[in-house]
Amino acid sequence: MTLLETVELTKQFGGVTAVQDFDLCLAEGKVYGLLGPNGSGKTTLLNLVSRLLAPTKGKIFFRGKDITRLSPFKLPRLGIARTFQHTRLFEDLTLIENVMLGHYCREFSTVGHILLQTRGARSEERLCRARAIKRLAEMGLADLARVRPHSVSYGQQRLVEIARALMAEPQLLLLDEPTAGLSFEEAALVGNLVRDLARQGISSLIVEHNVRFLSSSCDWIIALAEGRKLVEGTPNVVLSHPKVHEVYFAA
Amino acid sequence: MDIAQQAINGIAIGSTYALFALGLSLSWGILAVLNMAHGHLLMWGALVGYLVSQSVELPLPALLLLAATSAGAMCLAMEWLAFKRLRGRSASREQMEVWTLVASLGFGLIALNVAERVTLGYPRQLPSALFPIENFVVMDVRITTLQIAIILAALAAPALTSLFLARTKWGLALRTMGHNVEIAELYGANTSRLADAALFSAGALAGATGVLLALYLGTFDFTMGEPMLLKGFAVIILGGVGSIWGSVLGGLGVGVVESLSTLFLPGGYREGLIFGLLVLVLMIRPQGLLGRPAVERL
Amino acid sequence: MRVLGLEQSAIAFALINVFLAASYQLPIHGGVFALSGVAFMAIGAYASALLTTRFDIHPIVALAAAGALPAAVALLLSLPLARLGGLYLALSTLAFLVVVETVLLNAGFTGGAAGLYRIPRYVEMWHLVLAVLVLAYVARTVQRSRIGRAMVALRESNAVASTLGVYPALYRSTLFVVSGVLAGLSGAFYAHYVGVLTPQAFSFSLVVRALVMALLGGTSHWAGAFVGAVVVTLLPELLRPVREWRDVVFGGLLVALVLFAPRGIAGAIDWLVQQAGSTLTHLQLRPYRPLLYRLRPRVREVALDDPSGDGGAH
Repeated sequence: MTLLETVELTKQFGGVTAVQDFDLCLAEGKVYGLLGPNGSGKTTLLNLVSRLLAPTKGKIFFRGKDITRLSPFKLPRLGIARTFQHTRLFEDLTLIENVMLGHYCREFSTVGHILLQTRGARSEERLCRARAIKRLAEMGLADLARVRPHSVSYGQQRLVEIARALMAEPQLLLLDEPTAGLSFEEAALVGNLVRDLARQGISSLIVEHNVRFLSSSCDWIIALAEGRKLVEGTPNVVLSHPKVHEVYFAA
Repeated sequence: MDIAQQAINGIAIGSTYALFALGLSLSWGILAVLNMAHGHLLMWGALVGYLVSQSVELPLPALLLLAATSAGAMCLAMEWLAFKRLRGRSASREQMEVWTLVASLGFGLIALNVAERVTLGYPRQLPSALFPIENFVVMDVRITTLQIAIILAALAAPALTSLFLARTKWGLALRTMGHNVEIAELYGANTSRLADAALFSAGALAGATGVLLALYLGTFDFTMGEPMLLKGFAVIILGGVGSIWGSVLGGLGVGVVESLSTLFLPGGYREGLIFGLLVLVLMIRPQGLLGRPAVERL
Repeated sequence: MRVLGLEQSAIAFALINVFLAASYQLPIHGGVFALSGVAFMAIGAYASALLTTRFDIHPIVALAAAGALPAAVALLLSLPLARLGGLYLALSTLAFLVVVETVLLNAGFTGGAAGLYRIPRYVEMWHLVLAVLVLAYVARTVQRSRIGRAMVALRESNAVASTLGVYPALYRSTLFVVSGVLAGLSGAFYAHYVGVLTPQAFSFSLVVRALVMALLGGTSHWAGAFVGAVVVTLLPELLRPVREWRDVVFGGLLVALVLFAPRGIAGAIDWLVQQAGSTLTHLQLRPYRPLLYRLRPRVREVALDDPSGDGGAH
């Protein structure tokens, strides 16, 4: 079944066209890579899909539902979670609180429940904390749970951000350069993670420059240039495609 | 003729608002310093003018110069003690704005308290001999020489400022700082020195305006800064933050509306009218009349 | 009666101010820089005073009205104002205060500049203590919940918070309304403790004082409003010799806070506790592997396909 579909998606900033007539079609349980030189519109595409930007033209469908005009805060409930190119953890929350916040969209306790400390509210909070610890442990960060983001490395911040996105129990994970600044082991961890998720039916759309990561982790790669789709196909095909080489190495 | 008379009075008082708001607007627009002590700088100008005129007999220009220098120096002290450090530390402009606002509130409290002790809370008066006032009457409308002087000042100061900002390299650097301090630095501007100069001028303008306003109103007391500050906010939001002629127009607008309202409304409602209008403007244009909406980059 | 060398009334004012300070601290905690608390306090105070004196309404009902009326006004105001960013919100809420002041000074039913007097003085110390304890429970419980986390997220970035499912507009309006309730209650307590109301009591300088309370206490911790209100109200009582220079002390304190302890007193205490906590964890759970882990030179893999090597700026 089609998970995400965009039809003629276009975004203009003033006179500049960042993304033009982009048709994207993502299936369940696959890892997709977005490849393209700087300024080719990868992050803009991600921002459009996560509704932080409004498209100039075109439509976005998620599991057949038109989400083109939906507010961004409704997306995680539907099953779309994302990370940011420059990590955006909350400095005033500890790592575990940051990760717990990812579960916000799956929780239902209102102020009333919380003030009365109803059984539901308490078990929800317990469950959330337990899951967050598990996610952090997966990333090898369990012992940093009570530390604030500024005191861990950049790579660790990226991992926490991925853990936070996973807490939303997404069906589609949007990762913006997840391995930039990561150590070799950390990048391998992310690679294994997205493969694992794919086996559980969760798709990822990954903006990445790291060719080794793309070829080892992705099922399908979409190459962009100047806001348009250049080629798409399996990693072998795309990474050896003459057009891709031309765009990348001509600059 | 009442309307014409009130309009003239409104333009005169509005000119002091414009002079006052000019510095407030530029320091907010360029340096992200929304100076809550700006009103107290104006009061300090008047106070220095008063204290000096009590001991020495000086002509008005010398007095204005003294008041301006001392208020400018106070503003500079705030910059050195706090604003400059906050500028280096803040991650975003919004954060910087909030921190400087709080710091300037602190400075304002200090200035207010000291002025209260100095004046002992009594209203004070500048010697009226400072500016011999003559009346001109044209078709039943009276205009005084003092009013003319204030209006001329409110035209000259923004004209000079906009010339400076448009024509000099320092002006260009300052305008660049309004967008991005680092870029201004990359191009070799001494941003720290420029910020000093800008804040000194803003303070000096407030101080000089204080003397003029105290002369115009007859008396002043240590609380004169607060209502002035609130009016300054109204002016710059109406005219647009960082816009020079916007603050002149805003100032004149507020002054005239205020004066004319006395013909139709009981006096007490004057303030409420202005600020009710301000809330209305912000409802329709959340970024102010001439402001541009901020966009967060991700 | 004196407690700890303090007048009982000073302690009562400190407790009343806790509600006022909370009405500033709470929205700021959630990233809404609204300065309308004093205006809502005035509305609550006058509403409760008028209801009990003119209409013989039961004090409990009047108290409820003193919370509900500012909340309703806040809700109306929040429709256009909640989307205002940063200092524009601060300025427009100040403008709202001036409008309220104008009405208080000029409308017939508020008694004008002379204000209202002979308001029944129902409020006793234990009412205030109880109310503050309830507020403390509410503040603490909410801060440690999903809602508290969402508020911190909103303070740091509305956009990022919204990608996690937090609805910024809803939170902003709610915070504004809750600020109205808290300020309204503090106004009612004030009216029925002092027995006299004048418009001058709700001036711009009270806004400054309330801000000092909120920021001195700390805006990133639930206890900030409590610590701040108590310190700001009681400090002048303890510093009687320098009372005439009170605002110099507070002004200097405010500047020093912004420069050296932007999280305020509660934030500083919290930080110390956390440092102690993490030192403990460090000793018990993380002998030295993480330390090595941190010291190890971080080799960044150079992307083969990115000639600039900067990892891409887009």
